[in-house]
Amino acid sequence: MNKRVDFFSGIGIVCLAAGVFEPTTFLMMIVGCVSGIVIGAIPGLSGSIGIILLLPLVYKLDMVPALVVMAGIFCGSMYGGSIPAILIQTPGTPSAAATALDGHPLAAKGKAGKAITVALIASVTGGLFSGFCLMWISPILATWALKFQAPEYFALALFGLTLIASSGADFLKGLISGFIGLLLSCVGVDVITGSARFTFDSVMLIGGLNVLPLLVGLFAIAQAFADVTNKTEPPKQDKSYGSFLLTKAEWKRIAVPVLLSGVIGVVIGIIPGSGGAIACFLAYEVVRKISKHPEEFGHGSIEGIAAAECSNNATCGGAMIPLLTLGVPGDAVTAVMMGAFMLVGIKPGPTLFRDYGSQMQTFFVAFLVMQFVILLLGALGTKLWIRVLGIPRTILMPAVMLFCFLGAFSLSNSTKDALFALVFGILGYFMKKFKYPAPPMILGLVLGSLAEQNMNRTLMIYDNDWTVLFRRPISGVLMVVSIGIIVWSFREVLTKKKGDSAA
Amino acid sequence: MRKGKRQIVCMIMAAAMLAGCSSGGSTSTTAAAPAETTAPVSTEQAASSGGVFDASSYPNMPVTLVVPWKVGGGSDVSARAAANVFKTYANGQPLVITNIEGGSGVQGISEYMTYDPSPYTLLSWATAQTIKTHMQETKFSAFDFRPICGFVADSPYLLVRSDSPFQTINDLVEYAKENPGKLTVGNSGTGGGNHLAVLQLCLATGIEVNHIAYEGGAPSSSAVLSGEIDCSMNMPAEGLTSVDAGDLRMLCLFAEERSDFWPDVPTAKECGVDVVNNQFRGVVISKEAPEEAAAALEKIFEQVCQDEDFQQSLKDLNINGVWLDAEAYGKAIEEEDALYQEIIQSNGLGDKY
Repeated sequence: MNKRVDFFSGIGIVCLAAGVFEPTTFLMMIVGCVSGIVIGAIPGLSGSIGIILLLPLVYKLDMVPALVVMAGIFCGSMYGGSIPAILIQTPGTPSAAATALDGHPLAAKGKAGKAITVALIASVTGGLFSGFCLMWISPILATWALKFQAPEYFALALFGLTLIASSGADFLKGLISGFIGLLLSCVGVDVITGSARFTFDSVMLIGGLNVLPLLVGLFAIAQAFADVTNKTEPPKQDKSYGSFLLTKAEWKRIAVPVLLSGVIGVVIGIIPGSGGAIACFLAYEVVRKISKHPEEFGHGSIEGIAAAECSNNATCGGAMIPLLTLGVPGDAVTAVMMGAFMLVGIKPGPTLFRDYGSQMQTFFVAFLVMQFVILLLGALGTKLWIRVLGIPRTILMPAVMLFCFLGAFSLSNSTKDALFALVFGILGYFMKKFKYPAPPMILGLVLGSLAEQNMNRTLMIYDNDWTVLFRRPISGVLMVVSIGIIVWSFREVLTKKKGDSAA
Repeated sequence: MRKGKRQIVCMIMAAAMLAGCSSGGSTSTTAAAPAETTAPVSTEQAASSGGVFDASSYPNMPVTLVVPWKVGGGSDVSARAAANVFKTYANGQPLVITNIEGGSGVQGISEYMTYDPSPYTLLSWATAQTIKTHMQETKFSAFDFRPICGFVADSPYLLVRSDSPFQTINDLVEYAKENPGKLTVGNSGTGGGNHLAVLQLCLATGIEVNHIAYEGGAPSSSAVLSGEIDCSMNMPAEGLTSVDAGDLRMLCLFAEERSDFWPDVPTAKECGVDVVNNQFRGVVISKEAPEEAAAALEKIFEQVCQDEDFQQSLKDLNINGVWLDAEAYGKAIEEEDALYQEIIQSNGLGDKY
């Protein structure tokens, strides 16, 4: 069980390849990538919703196929999101927002084909790069994280929580959402004291709130509600795509931006509370600053498309690093994944690598192979994916709803979770309407219990001496950084307010 | 464009069917997989079985066992092991497992109580469920159901790191006596079976320890590994991979006698610490169901427990199979109920007392 397969030995490669091309795993890889691209290409549906929709399927799978199908959706949706961004200037996922800046102008010039090709190449390269990072960084970080004790986990959870608060567009609304999430994490029987909190004597609440029904509600059902009430028709696309091929000079132009954005994407992905939407704008800005043709940006620069698409795909592997090694999800998609992991009986965290070493390595290799599957699917099926945009909403959204409730019900085989999904779907709809971000609530819920339990454990083990949080090196650094972020965010908000009132 | 749309719709339908098929395919391999068990069938069964119970033809339709724990948990895997051979001894009728998890069993038990009493709907019972009735106000007690049989009795063990100075349970007790409240002992949640086993140890030896609660047994054993705590009370098979790898050590087992799985691990009792803790798992039925049905089921389960395939699959899972008939299991529940009520009350745990 504890065996590690050596990547470089011939037998190791054969073993891993056998695992990756095992029929179920490979089929799930294709299912994941295809559904990912399709879901990503439909504006409004993103990777997290994609995983939610496939929950009834994931639930039945073994560990490796389950991981592969989820990662396939994650990576596929990142590429899929670029298609409507380029063709109808509507990003399919928030992470493709920066792609629309240059993708659509290029398409307007009749060069949509070129834009899609650049997006595909950049996506795949970003995915590959992040896959290698995932493969090399995760085991090292996991070995290191095995030494993590309660103070470190508390500091880590606090660090994640502070980042969430500071990452949203609207600081105050992000905080409100995050704090509601923290409050929700208290519901149920407390592990430390054994007493029931916020259960109102209800059998439904005694076990606490499951993350998945909340995710189903806040993301998928809320989106379906929002879509049903939204009467505007999606914009029409242009018919001509032009050539799909790139010239040698164009290949050369996108090489450096792709490499650079790959690094940015992975780094942003690793930091909890951020994700593809932040990475793509950051990479876009950086590449524009170093570009020899900054004037082309915003008017159809292929470098811009490459930067945005490469970085958002690179966040996939990056975001999975803290999820797998520390059990701390970095964004909404990985939070959904974490919930789904629990469903198939895996607890993400450092012990994952110790107990399931060989399965994890198979998964890493599958992650790399998956990028080539996306390349192939993207190259062969471009015109097919484009057609997805024509699916009438009246067919799509009822189907989404159906799968949502099916997924929620299958969590515990009781209508309880379906009911929770509906309640949070309604809440999510209003949050969407009044622009309260949902991810902070989810991360508050997930990180809240991690923070609370580990703080309690720290105080119990160290005789109520809280200074230990600062005296231990790793937790000390994390605590200082967290406090720094809090102070910095508040200063930022206060100065902004002053600026507003002055103006 | 219309034709294109139709193609896409067809594709999506095909994909949905594919997904449906793949899940259908996997469920058909195990009789007890949840997809075909999702709908609690009790109501229709009760209706179709009519008011009169006919013992000669019982069972003449599938029997449902409600497991109030998630798939893959201790209660679930042992119930599934029984379900795999149940058919052979029950007129060819399968035992269908329905998992209704949540709230340490409360959710599933509460839902079971809303069903019409039927000889075809059983409930899986575990020590943890008895404990829960004393930790929180519940609408039921351990005596609200008719015991059919007990078929698993697992005992917890103490895990320490391989390099720990404690070689025996006596070393540990001695250290705890000299340093009251210093020894950190992990458990899988306050008021859980492992925590109460530690309290039972404290009660018996008069020691005072620092209880550290974790969300489940695996994080608790991992905390021993990282050096966060001195030792951890665990149930099989928590932490056993680390024991096999040589990173953790089993200090002692709180069973009546040594286990066949770990013949080298002494029991606490033989070290002079008289603590025996059994976590039973069994089957109960609504008190309103016909008594003859309970008797018939007891006979069926007795044969199941003697089945070699069943015994082998429990062995593979490190689960200690036993046979307690209805009377013995009823007595075991009574004993554990009294024990845990005392421990919980005297330590002021939970919300009930």
